[in-house]
Amino acid sequence: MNSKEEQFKKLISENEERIKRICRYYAPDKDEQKDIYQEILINIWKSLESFRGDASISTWIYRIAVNTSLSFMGKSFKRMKLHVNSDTQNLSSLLDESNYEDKLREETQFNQIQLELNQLSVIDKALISLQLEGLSMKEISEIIGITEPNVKVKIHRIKEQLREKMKGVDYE
Amino acid sequence: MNSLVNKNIDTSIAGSNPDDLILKLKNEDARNLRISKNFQWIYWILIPIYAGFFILNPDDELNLLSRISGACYVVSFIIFAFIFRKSVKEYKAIDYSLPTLEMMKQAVKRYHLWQPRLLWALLSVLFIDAGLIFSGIEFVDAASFLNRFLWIQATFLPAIGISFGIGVLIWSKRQKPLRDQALRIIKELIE
Repeated sequence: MNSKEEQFKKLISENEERIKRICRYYAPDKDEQKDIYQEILINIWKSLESFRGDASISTWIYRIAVNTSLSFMGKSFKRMKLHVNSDTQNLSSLLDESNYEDKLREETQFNQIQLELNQLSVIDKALISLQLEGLSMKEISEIIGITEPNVKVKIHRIKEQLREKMKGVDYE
Repeated sequence: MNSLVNKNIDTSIAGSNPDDLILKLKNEDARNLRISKNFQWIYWILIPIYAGFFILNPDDELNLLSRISGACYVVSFIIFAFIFRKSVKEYKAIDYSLPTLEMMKQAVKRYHLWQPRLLWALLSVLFIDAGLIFSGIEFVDAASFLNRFLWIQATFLPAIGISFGIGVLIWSKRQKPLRDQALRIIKELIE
């Protein structure tokens, strides 16, 4: 087995879950997830020789995953839904107020957040998916290619928007 | 839990073992390389053949105008060969590991209809046009030249126009939506 294959296998085994989570965010069903996953792996394989270590390996993987997912959505990208797993970490960071934490565990609120997330624009969804992955603003800016302050402003705006919408929801 | 909550996703979404996948990836690489090489071969074979038969051929029956015609075809093939070579290089250089904004900007550029290579293609077509005109003239006299010129323009140019129209239709169906999508994403990112 040559070194490219070894490097590829190692990379995939170490980042498998990370890539799968990104696929889950972007695709509504298993078949689409499988297609995006395969496409991401193909692009990782193609880009492997160009990886020079300028960015961290996780940033590099996320870039390929996000770019592939955005490209993969093609004409249907308007309908792209953000799918949040019930075990997704950092979900509470979207509404980072302590009095919300308990309520987040409640099913209705969880569903409401997901419904609101699905109303976001495609780029807002991409930013939120990275935020849900627990990445820092700096890492998100390196992946998306906009400045760190711009990422902060955008994420702050999204959170404000979500908070406003969640305020009007009755959880009884 | 509501069905919207995507909690029971199959964790084995890879759908194949790594060795099968690597085989698929290798096949993909080999296929791209094969297509690229095939096109290179076609052009680089046609160029000496046309040069040999229509320019360098010592046959006395091959008059100067036919040789000029052959030269026009050869120049046209050389231009097309370089256009294709550049396209293949560009296609192979698509880098998904770039930051999203940069990648989208490159996609917009790549899928733009009016590219400098179109001018080179036009030049190449003009050489074929000239080659067709010169290939059918026995003697250089104004009447036969004009006659041949008008006949070729009446047939060749509509054919080129139709081909271009089909190309634009294919572009608007396949590449324009991608370009529009990339433009929307860029707009959203920078605003």
